[in-house]
Amino acid sequence: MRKSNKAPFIWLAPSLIVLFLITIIPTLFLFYTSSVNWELGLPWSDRTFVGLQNYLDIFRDFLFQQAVKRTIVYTVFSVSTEFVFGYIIASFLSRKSVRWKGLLIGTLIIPMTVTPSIAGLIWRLYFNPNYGIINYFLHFFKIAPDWYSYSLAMSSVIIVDVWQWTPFVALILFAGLSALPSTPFEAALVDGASKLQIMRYITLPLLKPIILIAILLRGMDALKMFDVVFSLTGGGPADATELLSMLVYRTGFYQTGMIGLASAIAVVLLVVIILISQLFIKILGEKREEV
Amino acid sequence: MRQKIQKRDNDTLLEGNLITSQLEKRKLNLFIDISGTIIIIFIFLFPFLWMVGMSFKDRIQTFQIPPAWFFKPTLENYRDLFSREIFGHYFVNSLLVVAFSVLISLLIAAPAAYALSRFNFKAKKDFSFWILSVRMAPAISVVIPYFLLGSLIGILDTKFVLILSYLTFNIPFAVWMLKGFISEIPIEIEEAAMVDGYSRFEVFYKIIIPLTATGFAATSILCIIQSWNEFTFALFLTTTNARTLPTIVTQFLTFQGVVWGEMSSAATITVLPAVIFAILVRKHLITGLTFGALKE
Repeated sequence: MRKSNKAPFIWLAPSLIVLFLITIIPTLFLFYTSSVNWELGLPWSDRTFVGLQNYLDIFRDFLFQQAVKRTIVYTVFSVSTEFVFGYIIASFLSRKSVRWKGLLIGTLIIPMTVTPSIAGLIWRLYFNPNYGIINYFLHFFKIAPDWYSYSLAMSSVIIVDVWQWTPFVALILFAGLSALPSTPFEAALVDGASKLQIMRYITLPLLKPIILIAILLRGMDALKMFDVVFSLTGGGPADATELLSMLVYRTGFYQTGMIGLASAIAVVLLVVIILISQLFIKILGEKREEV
Repeated sequence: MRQKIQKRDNDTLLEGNLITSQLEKRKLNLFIDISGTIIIIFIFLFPFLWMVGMSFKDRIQTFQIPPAWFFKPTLENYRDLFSREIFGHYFVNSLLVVAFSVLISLLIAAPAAYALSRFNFKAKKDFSFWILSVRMAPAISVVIPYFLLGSLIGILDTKFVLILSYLTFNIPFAVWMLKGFISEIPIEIEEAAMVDGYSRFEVFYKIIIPLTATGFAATSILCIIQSWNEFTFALFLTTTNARTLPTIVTQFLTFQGVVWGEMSSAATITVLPAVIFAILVRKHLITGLTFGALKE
């Protein structure tokens, strides 16, 4: 039935050509700009080739090291919180007796579709120490944290991420839980296993690939987080929430215009995320073969 | 054995106050169900509803503490918002950029998706996974060369460059989604049609496309949502002419504190289309967001 080996390539050609032009060429160009010394505003011809100097510079740079640390803290805290709450919500949704599941799922869909830059802006109002709704609720407990302060700014960003993306983790895990076979659970109940034992030895191992998929997807998103931080804290106060993406923005565009350095940071971020995505792809491939 | 029993007792104890009868257990379950439902709705829906509510408050009500739970809604904020030329301009830009980018993406992605689900060739797996990793690339990295090349060619601040940059995430996403939908159509239908003298191309647009219409609709809606919400490219590549709605935050960040009501109305209008679309395609949302790892 198949006419020739060339057939698939005619179908693939448009996407191959377009993706080559709009992704491969820009990426190569990014690698190139990461090896030049050039400032925004100068004529393009004023650039000088510096090889790997930009990379050496950023790795020695205190701001970069701090941004890496913050990005890791941000990613670890938000993803793990999302996983814990997501798992609890997913287990709750799997209870047979819970009614209004449609309403609950509809509710969960809303935060993750809210435009992230807008979510940052709105939560900025909610976090306002004087007029914000959050401190209004907290005053019943006699606490009034200053969410804009240096020590709490990172927590505010994490809270917004957790609000937006816990539902995503919850819905993935809920879908995963619903698809689990029932036999192992019945057998465990017959053997008198406790709820915790069932979770530890049956549910979590069976759910492992799906948990990994959820965590990796969230992890990659958290590593490249930009819009929420931009509108919630702008990286501040005093660098407290300066994540890697914000550092790229500030180095390359907002304050200094050091395109070479910004490109080098961007390449580091790109490489890290592509490496993680290979892990994701591997798990995805294995999962697809099962089906 | 005793330990086991002890442990089980402890677990039961953990679940609530001493469960003595079936009836109390049922009561406890009802309590968990109701309080869980309330907590989920409060945490995840309330912030959204509060934003919508705020957009209908007047200036005094927005700053009122304790907050105004009940108030006479006013359209003042929306009137102020629409009286700013900028808002309508951003809105139209958003519409155009999203529409063109999604349309072009589907046109380019559909044949690729068909090839990946129907043909067997050597590099098939590599190609589909390469496409997927393109989708993962961080916008902040891709945007730098776009900005520089764009300024060298002189296309910055145009809808064209924005549409182009949105293709970088829409095409891979659409290929991956449509591939899933096309693979669900039994290949026998196609073979029968080809026996009847249909060419591959005719099979594709006379049979596959109509049969996967819902898949196409779901894919385009998911593409619309991600493009509508896109911020990084829009922020870097545009300044005034081609700005889209998500970048309106930069307008409000400068004089924040005064116009909460107007801010909320802008937020509500920006967010609402995405939310409505997402609820429409809720069945495919998780499949889409996990790139087909989970099917519902």
